Amino acid sequence: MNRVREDYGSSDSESDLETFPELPDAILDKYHLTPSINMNRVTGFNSFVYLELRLSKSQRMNLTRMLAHFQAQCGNSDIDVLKRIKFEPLHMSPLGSPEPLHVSLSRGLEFRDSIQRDQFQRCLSARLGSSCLNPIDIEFEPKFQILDSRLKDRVFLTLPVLSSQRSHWFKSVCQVLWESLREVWPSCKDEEIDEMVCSPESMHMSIAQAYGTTASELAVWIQLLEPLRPLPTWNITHLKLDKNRESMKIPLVT
Amino acid sequence: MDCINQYIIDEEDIAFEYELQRTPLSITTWRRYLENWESQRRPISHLVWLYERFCRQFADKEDTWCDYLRWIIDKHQLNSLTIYQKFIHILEGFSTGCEKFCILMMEFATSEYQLEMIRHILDISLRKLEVGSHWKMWEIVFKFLEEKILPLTELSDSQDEYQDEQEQMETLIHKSLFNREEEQDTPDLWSSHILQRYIKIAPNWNLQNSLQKLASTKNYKAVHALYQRYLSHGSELVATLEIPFSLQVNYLISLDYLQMDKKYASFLQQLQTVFPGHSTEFTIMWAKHEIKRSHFHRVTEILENAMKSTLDFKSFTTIYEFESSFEKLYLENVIEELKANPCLQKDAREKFELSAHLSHLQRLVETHSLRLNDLKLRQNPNSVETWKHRVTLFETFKDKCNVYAEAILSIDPTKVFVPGSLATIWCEYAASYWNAQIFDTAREVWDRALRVPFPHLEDLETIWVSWTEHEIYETGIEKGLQILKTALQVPNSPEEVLENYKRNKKKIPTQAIVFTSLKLWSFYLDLQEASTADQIDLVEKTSLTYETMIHLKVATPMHFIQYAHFLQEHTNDKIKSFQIYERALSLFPREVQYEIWNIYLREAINAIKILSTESIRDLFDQALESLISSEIDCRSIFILYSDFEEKNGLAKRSVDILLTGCRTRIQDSNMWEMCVSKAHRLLGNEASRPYYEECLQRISNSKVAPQARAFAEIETHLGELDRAREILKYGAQFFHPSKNVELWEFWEELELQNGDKESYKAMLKLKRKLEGELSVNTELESQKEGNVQFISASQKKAPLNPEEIDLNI
Repeated sequence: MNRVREDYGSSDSESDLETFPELPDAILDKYHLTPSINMNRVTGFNSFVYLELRLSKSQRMNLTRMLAHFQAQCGNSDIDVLKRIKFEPLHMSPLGSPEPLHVSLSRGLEFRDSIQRDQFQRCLSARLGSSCLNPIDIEFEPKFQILDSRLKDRVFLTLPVLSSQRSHWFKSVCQVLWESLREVWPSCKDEEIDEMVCSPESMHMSIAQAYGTTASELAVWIQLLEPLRPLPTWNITHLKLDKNRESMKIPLVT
Repeated sequence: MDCINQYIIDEEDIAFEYELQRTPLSITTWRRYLENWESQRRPISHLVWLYERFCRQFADKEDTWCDYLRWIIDKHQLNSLTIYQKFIHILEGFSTGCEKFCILMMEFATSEYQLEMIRHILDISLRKLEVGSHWKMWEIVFKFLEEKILPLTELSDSQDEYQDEQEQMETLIHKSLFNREEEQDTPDLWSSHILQRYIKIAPNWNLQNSLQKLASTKNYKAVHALYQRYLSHGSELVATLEIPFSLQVNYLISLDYLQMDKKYASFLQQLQTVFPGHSTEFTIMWAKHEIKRSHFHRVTEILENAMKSTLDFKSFTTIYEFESSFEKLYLENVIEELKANPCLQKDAREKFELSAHLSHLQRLVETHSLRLNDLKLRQNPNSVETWKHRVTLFETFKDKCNVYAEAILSIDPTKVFVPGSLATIWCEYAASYWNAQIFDTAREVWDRALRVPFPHLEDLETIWVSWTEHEIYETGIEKGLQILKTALQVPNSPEEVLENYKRNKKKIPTQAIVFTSLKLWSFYLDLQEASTADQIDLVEKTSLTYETMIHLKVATPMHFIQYAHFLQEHTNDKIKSFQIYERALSLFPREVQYEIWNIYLREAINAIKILSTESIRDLFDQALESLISSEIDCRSIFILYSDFEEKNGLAKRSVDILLTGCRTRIQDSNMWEMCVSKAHRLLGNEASRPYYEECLQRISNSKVAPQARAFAEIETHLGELDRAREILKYGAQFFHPSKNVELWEFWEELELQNGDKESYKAMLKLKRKLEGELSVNTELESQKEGNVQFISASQKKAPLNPEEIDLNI
């Protein structure tokens, strides 16, 4: 409801707000991923653990403004690479539909079968429940960061998570995740489990993407630019895990 | 002696007395003596005195006593008690061998409805008779119970003394509200005791029947005890399929009467589980039970729960009507009572919870459609139509949105069998936000809808079209084009994708083949042609779209035609557009080719500046060659080709083309008419002769007459009267002259102007001959087997009943 309240803030009375119900999370979660149409993909039981930010309208507007400002800064630059680069926002689909942003906690996880995946889900839930990890308001550093995609076909414009949160809260979350993965893959080496979990030090949220360049080309210049405020923030009460095409909530406190 | 003197009054009596002294064991004498007294119409006391003497003489003879008993019953002069008292001692006096007498006594007692006597006789009989004969006594008693006693108890059953359910409910509520003392039906203890005695010794085959009869006595204390003892080894009954349903219901009723409410509720719920088909019946029973106890909240709770869980319409209606009726009657009862009894009015509103009952009744009425919709959704949660109807039952935007959301979360896409229907829910949901100017959320709905694993392509098409249409209206065509372009993104190897999809239809999502959607491509084309892009850009993009469609094999013949017309309109390059027709001809079957050729050839002959005459001729020949071999009707192409050659000044060729057409469609009289008239018009009288000759030979006989007349007219102009007459003769032979008037009028005119008396006579002779030969007796024809027989309307029908009176009212 908070999202709607923010979206339609011009209406003052409660009754007006009541008339605009937001799209239920249950629907967004149930139809989270588009069915895969990749014919050659070896079907498996993939999953992914992350934090999801569903932006309110005002948050989307702020982010759009921030990206426009960033784009303008790039355009005004004397550097060719920056001049020609065109960033596409990630909080809106190319057709204008709002999209959630996320902070990845794991890499893509490929389970042997649905039993192993479900075991992981149970394990993670149990460990989170007993970890005493409290909900927090996630915050970001006031700077941009450029990262290459895994396939190096594009770059992501990101906001790094606040350093203090990375070193404490995120470190603990990653530890829980690591232990849960270890439980379902007892014979894996530590390094292999490490590979599955994102490093707490590099926690970030991608906000835009651009094709035709690499992070190394931009990294130095980007450091000089500062994001327009306010930076997005939201309260984290649960982790999310993809299961089949649905997005499952794993609450922090049971 | 004084006693005897009372009865022995004449000589004849003395004679009989002497005879009896001599032969006291002569039954004949006794009977004659009795008959004598009867004939003298002696008083009953005399007859009884004599009969008793007779019976005592043969005290061990059961038959004598039986005769005496029958006689005295038949006399109807002594009351039943006197008879009973006389004979019960006699019965007690029998040591054994009195079965008939016992039966007779019992029949007498039952016929007199003497319950005490029946029980006494039963007691004595069971003592006197062998165990093997006991059943005979029980049979009489049971018959009496079934026919005479138990129906009386059943009549007094409170459930039957009311005319209808409504009245029963009214009384129930009234008693419950204003008369706390519950009136119990008086049990039939006599029958109950008899049955309890029987049940103790009843054989297994008759035990359940006897237990059923016991319930009819309304002695529920006995029912409860005996049912437990005989059906559940002394413990509480547990609902089961092994005990007859009616016995378990009796037990339930006994719990109600004995006010064992907790056990009642528990046993009733067990029964609902074991006999789901009777669930509604039990719900109503339970509700009535709670009404009796004045637990009105509980009544509502029970009925509401039952209504929320029922899966069939009949049960729903029964429960709904019961609940409505209960609420109405409750309010009516209270209001009537308050009117009649003003002292109750103080605190009545709170005491009787009038507002709560009134608002519940109102809610019941208002939510009937919604409850019915709930039921339909319980029956089939995947029914899109039911969900859509549910939306209409709510007023506010919020409520409607909640229904859409609930529908989306409840419906299993794989269980919706009407292609495209589930998508309409998503689209209506999105449109609700869109119409409320909440565009982002609307887009989010469409976007999520496109992630649903629909089994039918139609659903995805509907969503893409809905989104596009809304965006066009709000944002413009360019946005619509962008959406459709996204939808129609062609994969790298479309053939492979399609083949895979067809091979693994259930495993590959329909999203994989959206690029094959004819509907979306057509929409995309329409938008593209309507967009305001500059001319070159428009031609380039639209051509590319058509080419992609052709490449993907989704282009229909109409798309090819549209493509050709588009090129003609926007590029003026007719050759390029004709090439499109050529490509279409190579892709579609002959029937479709025919339609394409028709358009193509029409446009080709109008493009004479671009195409040479010879090229057009080639096209016609090519069309006819390919189509005729497939037995396609090429009439229009022949006509077009003929007209084309006529315009080119090639009269003979023009007629010959039609002749070729006629030959391919041998009996098409219209085509032949076209051919001969064109031959006559373009080639003249003489040259048209061979065309007419062939025409008369080839067309069907029924169509010959007009052509023969036209041909004869030509011959007349040429002065060939004999030929004309022969042609007319040929044309006349197929019809009765009355049906061939034009030909005969022409012939008569011909003879009057050119002939002589002989030729005229010959004509008339032929006409008469044909009138005779070709006349048809319609009456005879109609009577032939298989033909419809018509009866003249004027013929009066003879009445079937000769005595029938024809009333002209």
